[in-house]
Amino acid sequence: MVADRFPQSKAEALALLAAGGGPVVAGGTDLMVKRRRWSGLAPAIPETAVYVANIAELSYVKRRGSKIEIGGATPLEIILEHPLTPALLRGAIKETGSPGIRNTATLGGNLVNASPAADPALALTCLGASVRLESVKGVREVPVLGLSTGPGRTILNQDELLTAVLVPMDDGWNTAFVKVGGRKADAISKVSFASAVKIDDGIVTAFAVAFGAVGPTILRLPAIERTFVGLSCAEVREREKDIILAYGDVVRPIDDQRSNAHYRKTVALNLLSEFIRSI
Amino acid sequence: MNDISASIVRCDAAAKISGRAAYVADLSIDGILHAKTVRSTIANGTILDIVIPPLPEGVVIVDHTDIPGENGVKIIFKEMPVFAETEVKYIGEPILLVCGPDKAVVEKIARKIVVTYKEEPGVFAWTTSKSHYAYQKGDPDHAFKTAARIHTETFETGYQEQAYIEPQGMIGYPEAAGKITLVGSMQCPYYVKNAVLGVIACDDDGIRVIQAETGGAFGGKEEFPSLTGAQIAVAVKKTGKPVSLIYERTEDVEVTTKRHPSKITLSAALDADFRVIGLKARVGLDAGAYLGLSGVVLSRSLIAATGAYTIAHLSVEGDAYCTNTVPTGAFRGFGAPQMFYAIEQLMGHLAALAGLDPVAYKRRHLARKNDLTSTQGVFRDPILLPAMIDTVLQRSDYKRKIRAFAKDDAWKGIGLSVFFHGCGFTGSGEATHIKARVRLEKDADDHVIVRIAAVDMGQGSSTALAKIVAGVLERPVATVHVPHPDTDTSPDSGPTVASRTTMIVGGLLARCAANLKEAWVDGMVQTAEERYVQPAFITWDEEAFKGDAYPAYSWGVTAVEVEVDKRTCAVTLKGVWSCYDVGKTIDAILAEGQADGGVTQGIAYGYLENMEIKDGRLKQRNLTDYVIPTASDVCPTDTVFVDNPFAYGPYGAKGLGELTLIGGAPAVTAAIENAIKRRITRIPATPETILELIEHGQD
Repeated sequence: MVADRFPQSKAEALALLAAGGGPVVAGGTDLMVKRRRWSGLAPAIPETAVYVANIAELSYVKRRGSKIEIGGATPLEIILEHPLTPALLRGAIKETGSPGIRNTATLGGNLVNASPAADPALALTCLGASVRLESVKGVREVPVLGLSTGPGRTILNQDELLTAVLVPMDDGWNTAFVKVGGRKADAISKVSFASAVKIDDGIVTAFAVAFGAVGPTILRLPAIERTFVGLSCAEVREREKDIILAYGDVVRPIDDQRSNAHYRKTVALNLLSEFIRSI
Repeated sequence: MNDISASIVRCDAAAKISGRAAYVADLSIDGILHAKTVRSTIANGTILDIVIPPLPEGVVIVDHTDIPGENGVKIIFKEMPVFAETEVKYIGEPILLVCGPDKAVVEKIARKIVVTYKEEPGVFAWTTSKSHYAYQKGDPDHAFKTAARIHTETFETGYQEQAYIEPQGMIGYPEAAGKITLVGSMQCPYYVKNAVLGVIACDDDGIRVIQAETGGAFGGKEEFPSLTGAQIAVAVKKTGKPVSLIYERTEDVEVTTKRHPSKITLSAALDADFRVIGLKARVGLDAGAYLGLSGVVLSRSLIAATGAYTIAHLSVEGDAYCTNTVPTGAFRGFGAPQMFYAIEQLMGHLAALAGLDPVAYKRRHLARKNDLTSTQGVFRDPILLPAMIDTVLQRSDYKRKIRAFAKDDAWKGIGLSVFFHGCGFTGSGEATHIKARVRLEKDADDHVIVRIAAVDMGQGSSTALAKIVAGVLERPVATVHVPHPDTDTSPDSGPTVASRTTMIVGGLLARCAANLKEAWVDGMVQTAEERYVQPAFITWDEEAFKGDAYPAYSWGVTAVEVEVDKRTCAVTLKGVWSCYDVGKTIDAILAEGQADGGVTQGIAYGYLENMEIKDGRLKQRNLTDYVIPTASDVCPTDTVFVDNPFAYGPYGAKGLGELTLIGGAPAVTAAIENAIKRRITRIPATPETILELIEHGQD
């Protein structure tokens, strides 16, 4: 029965997944395209699919301690307009798709779709956000960094549902998001860049950069980032060349129908340079 | 009487805004069969075997063996098969249709059909010329021998996809006595009819073609619907049932015609003052697997070799090459955008060589009234280019900006292009090939129905033509009706192409309306007809490419200002200013709509829209990967139309639709060059290309 596939609560959704249901369909803006058929025919989405977009308890933005918690099925446009939304995430969502897509697409869907070019996922990775994965067996919280293992692949188990995203508040941080698409709106990123830095009394106390569309997953390298924490702003700026070299070794994009590897790499490193100089 | 240019509400506005307008995919007929095309998956080879799974009740395969007449789609020649027989020449070439009442079943069968091939290496190099033209003017050899210097450059342009909102679609159904009616999205109902007659091998009254509401075309629905029309007619003939063939977007992008990629080498012979005294042009176009209209596209390219300039000595030649790629075809501008891009770039580069501002350099060469055209015809009408350039310079603040940008380290630039479009068919095509006819039918209520074959594909021609007829009759526009063409009731006023609808068809209608007005009797049913008569001054030798290539020319000047992002090489449009001479606008807002859309499409051709092919397979196959500009990509446009009435056009109108596209690419390219101080010889100038130029390009 189709009705069974539209659970009204998180518990119902988890029960369906526990019974072997899936895939999970949230806003459907990626799945409907991937599984599309001849117009007039329903997309080739299995009958076992679990549709979560209508579960009210999974759609919210609220403060939880020092973090913002966003329900997994919250549409991007709601997050964009919410006053609690961190600036970096807001900036990324603003450049995601078109208003029509943003009204339907969800934050959880954007993460689980696991595109290395996803803009909200890039912002969340840079901010050090985590996600709550739930199943009837229990709950776990894992970082967004590492959630995806490749294009379209994640660490989610078949019975798990991404129920919430936990985002550190970025008050006092300097953040920036740059999207480079084939055009100025409604485009898939050819390369994208997010940065977040916290400076106290001229000392860098937190540093994060993330790159989109330059590899099979969103790229963020905490091991490199840690080497800048505790340095003065001037010391970080002085190391621009070394930083570019370090990232140059790991930013390894490909040629495809939207751009080429050389352009992607050059632009990614240009954006990084600009960020370093701005510290 | 009001000025004809004063705008009115479009005749089709209410139907389109309310969603009432019925496009071909909206039509439903009881018992209709849905057709899916099975296509070649290889670029070149022969079909060894086709294995078709057991067919459920009601599912029918339609292929070349079902064709009662000739297996060739008449475009110019009939070299393109309706369905492949043994040879396949490009990825996506149609082999057969699976037709059935249930789309899910049809799709499943189409997927299960296995075609095995003997694959041959694809020919992708431009080695097989299927159309060659050459002409000369003056004494080019002497000019080059005596030149103070010779400057040679090669320019390349890529594909462009029409990206009409509505994909291709055709429906057919049987009528009494074996007659077949086709309803589809199209520009040229009679092209479809004439192509289908030979395929079905029936009498003239055996095929009826009706234009459905058409959601954009840009040339993409000039010749292509002749193919789908022929396929559907064969399917209707075989099944005796209504059959529908509606393309999906990806299918449409992959297999329908696009703008010809080109490679154009230009050599300029310069005198001691850097003035161009001679020009040699060598043009190559990629026609794809079948020639189609490519020879005609090539000829328009070649005629435009001098751009908007008068050059005394010319040697021009070109070829359209067949390759194992998707056929290219008609697209707004029809060969002219490639040539104008090349010549405008060359003039800009020559100006740099001469140490002159590009606009000042171009001014020295502008064509003037009574000058000989490239083909030794005569520009008989006033050419207002100097004043039009002044208008654009002033409105864009060009002179101040170009000085400021030269000193500025920011990557800002401004560029200006000068161009024309030859209105209507080349040479005596209107008289020898088209022989347009129009008819007006007045009913007892004194309403007038306009019977023509010209289609409104979104450009607003039904409104413009209704205004012309109503204006001449001095009757309210609401009493003049322009129904969709139907070959059973509409005379052949020719195809909706070549910026000819307002000027040629509108001109005929104006004369026809004048006759009707003279004979007018209130309350009486009356008709009036008119046929095209070529103005006596036109002489054209098609073999020698000599004489008046076009009866009239529309002119344009476009300036574009850009800013290039130093980090990403992304181009942002900062301003677009244009001045056009289309004789007289028939409706100011419709004309502005054509201008805004055309210049945007032209600019995007120059810097944004990118389509590449590898081993015969397009890399960008949908509108996610083949990006066209959104509202965020364009900037406000400033458009001025100057009046310069053409004696033979209705109210003085000349061609409009294509002109506005032509200057976009050269203007934006010149602006980007100005911004990055590098020379661009290939479009689109994407950020990837700009980065390459920054790293390795020439100043």
